[in-house]
Amino acid sequence: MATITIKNLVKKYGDNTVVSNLNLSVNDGEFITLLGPSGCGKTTTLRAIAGLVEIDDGEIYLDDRLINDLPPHKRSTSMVFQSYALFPHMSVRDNVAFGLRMQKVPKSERDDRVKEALQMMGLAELADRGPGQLSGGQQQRVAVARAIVTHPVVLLFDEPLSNLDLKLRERLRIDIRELQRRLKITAVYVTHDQAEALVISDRIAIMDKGEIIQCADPVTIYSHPANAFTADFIGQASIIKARVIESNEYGCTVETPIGKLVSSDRPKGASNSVMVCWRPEEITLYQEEHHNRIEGKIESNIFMGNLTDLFVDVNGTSLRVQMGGSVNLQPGNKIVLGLSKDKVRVIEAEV
Amino acid sequence: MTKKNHTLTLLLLLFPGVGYIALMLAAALVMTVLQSMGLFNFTGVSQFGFQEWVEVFNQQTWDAFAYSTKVAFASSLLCMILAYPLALFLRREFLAKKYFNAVIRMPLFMPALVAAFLILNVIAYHGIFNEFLIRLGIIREPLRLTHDDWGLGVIGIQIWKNLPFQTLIVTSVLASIQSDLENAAKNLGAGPWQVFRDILFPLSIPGIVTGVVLVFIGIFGDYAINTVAGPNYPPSLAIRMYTNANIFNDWGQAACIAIIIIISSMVYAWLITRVASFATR
Amino acid sequence: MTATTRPSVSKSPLLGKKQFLLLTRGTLFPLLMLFGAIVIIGLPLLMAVLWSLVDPDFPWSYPDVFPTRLSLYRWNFVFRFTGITKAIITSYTIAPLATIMAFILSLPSAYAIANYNFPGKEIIRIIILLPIILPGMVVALFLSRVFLFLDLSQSLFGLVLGHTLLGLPYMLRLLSTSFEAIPKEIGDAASNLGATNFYRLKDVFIPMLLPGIFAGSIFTFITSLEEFNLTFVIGTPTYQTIPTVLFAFLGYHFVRTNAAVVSLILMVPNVILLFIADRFLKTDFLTAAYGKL
Repeated sequence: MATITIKNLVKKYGDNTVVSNLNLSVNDGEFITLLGPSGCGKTTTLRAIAGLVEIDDGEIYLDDRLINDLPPHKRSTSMVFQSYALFPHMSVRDNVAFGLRMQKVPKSERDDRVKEALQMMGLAELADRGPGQLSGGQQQRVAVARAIVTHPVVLLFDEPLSNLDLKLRERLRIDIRELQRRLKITAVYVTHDQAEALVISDRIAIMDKGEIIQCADPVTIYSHPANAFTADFIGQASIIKARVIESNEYGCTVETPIGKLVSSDRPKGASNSVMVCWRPEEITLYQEEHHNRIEGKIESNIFMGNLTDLFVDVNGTSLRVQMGGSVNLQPGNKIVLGLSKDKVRVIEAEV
Repeated sequence: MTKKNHTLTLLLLLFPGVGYIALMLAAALVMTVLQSMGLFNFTGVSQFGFQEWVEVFNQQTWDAFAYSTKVAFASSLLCMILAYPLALFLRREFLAKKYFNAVIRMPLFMPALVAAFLILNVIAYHGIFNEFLIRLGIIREPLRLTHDDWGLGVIGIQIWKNLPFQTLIVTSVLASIQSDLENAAKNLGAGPWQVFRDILFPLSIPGIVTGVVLVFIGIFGDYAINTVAGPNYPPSLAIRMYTNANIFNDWGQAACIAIIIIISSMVYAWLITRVASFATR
Repeated sequence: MTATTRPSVSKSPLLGKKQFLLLTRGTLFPLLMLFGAIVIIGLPLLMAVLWSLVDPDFPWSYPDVFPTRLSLYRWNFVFRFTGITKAIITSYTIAPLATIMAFILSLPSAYAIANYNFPGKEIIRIIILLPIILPGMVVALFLSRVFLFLDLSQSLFGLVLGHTLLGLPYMLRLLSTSFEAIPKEIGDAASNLGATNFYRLKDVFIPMLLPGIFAGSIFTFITSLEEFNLTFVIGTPTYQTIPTVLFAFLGYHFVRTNAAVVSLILMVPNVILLFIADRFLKTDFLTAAYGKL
């Protein structure tokens, strides 16, 4: 139960700057996810909080305490590792008890707390088994039990579900979230899976090339991406280059390769070169109330069960349109699409 | 944690193990070099200079050198020639493979002296090997295989002793070649001989060379086996070195020979590696 | 295991060609090889055993193929009158001491090699292997001069130091490879859960290293038992080990029967030790260990 403050964190490996000037504040009891592609620095940042990585510059605070020079075994920042890192020569019970042993917790209290943690994670029958005799999901739960039994002030998760199959992932991520809510421990979670981030986080910090691009709650990130990178990384997006023709306090009009579009959003910077984006499910068959009318020809119709992806050619640009159920339109058919102006978001042009 | 300088910790950690070896060997090396330059002559006159070196390049040293080279080359090459097919044979499963493996590995755990004695026994003038050949009518007189001028006894012992080690090396080298490469070759139509000639053999060469070099150096610098079964003349280089040191008390000469042994070993190692890489281009 | 099927009963009295090949390749050839191996390896051993059991009143000489009478006289004699017992004690005292010392010296270095990247690592690897690569008598002779200088000659301590030197390459190599095999996240997890370096070593690393420690100890122990050159130069005549006693019987005072007995004494424990090791460790321990070297 603590706040985490990171100021100007820098980490280099040789000439490669993996984390550059990162600033982040995590509130007490918050579940924040560091999300981004491989190599964006999210795991390095996580490990810096745990003290497992030596940083080149910057400050890390737990509550008000500067912990830069605190060795990893003195920080109360339990971590759940991607490979679970269970000690192979110890039983499940001894694995979970390890942290308490290191804290020199007396035996009877230790036994009680271990028992409680095992029960909480549904591992009571597996207590005497070795890690090699457990399934992936079971190992993961042991890793979590081991981390929480020491009553850490911060819980760190390093892509804990990436080695599991989809159904298990979907179930376990909710379990993890529930657990964190119940225990009210501040949690920092690292993943590259944007769906996972959207489901479990209080806030998401999107990272790319060592920097935080945008940090906000899931809804904001999804509906108001700050730039093309975020728009593309979370969910799907149609992102198109545009030029601002006119703009006032109610919105703007832009010229794009697919025609003129009106938006209730306004350009953020001074430049007239911007990008506009919307989600494929937000563009649909044209209706009267749509402010934007777009004509095109169907390129392909991809039926996915609950959804259909239509790819529509508009003046040489291919637009993705997602609709529910099945759509009775074939390649070659003409189609008129509509987009309302509040779905057209204006974001900074990519450098 | 903020970055720390780890150099001191690293050096402290490395010192016990690596430092121990480095220190002792360096001390021995320095001692050798100094003695070859005439110093540290504990029982005589210590005088710095090249006089020891001038003395050491004589007929006896050359004879010992030639002998040691010949024995080392013959033994290591013959041993590898036997070990390679053996290793190939061991790749597949066959009846009683476990027992075969166990038997073949016996000499591995044997100290050189024991190996020397055991084989000495068998190939002695009246030993069972000669008896066997005489009984079969292949020869009429027993062969002199020990303490012979050619060093045949030594070569035989060295081959026998080093065969398991060489086989092990070839086995692990062959095992490290991805089986997919073989499968790909077979898939493209290569028969067993071609798979061997074009895939296994070329890829195994670096490992083989290491094996040959290691065994070579050991045989080249051998003392014990040559004392037990080698010819009276010429002695192996190591014997000559020892004799000079502890019998003639001429440590200067001994030191020179020691340096000759070490440098020759390095040159031979380099040579063998060079020849192998040249031949396989 | 396809090569061991018996050929099926065919109608003709002679074996068909395919079945003949199957029989030869599958059964006959391996058995022949096994027989050959047993002869080549086993015969010398058998001879040694026989020679050690020769009855002094019925000397074994040409043209007898086997000794006419067997007796334990030689064994008795060697144990009573040749100081072999003292040598055995010396050998089996030095070996465990050298092994323990090698382990203690190797542990920090192996840890450093496995966990740090530093310039000159390759050179360090070569230095570590030098005691095995350099010709034994060369090292022995000149190290003995250094020992003489340091007053360590003819001392048990000097012998232990020397044997440790020869065992370190094995111990270091096997320990560092074992360290490298431990996933980094395990060490991180231990630190993360509050373990100081000491506890991390004691409760996590060493238990996981046990196979490597075992292998390294076996190699070092056996290397020490078999060591001849260094012991001969700095130990004798004050200290005799089993190899130096054997050497005495093989040199000027060549007594075949005594040599046979001592050879067997020297060998048998080694073989037992290594068979235990082979059983204990599941994988092909030897190939793996030598491979790691």
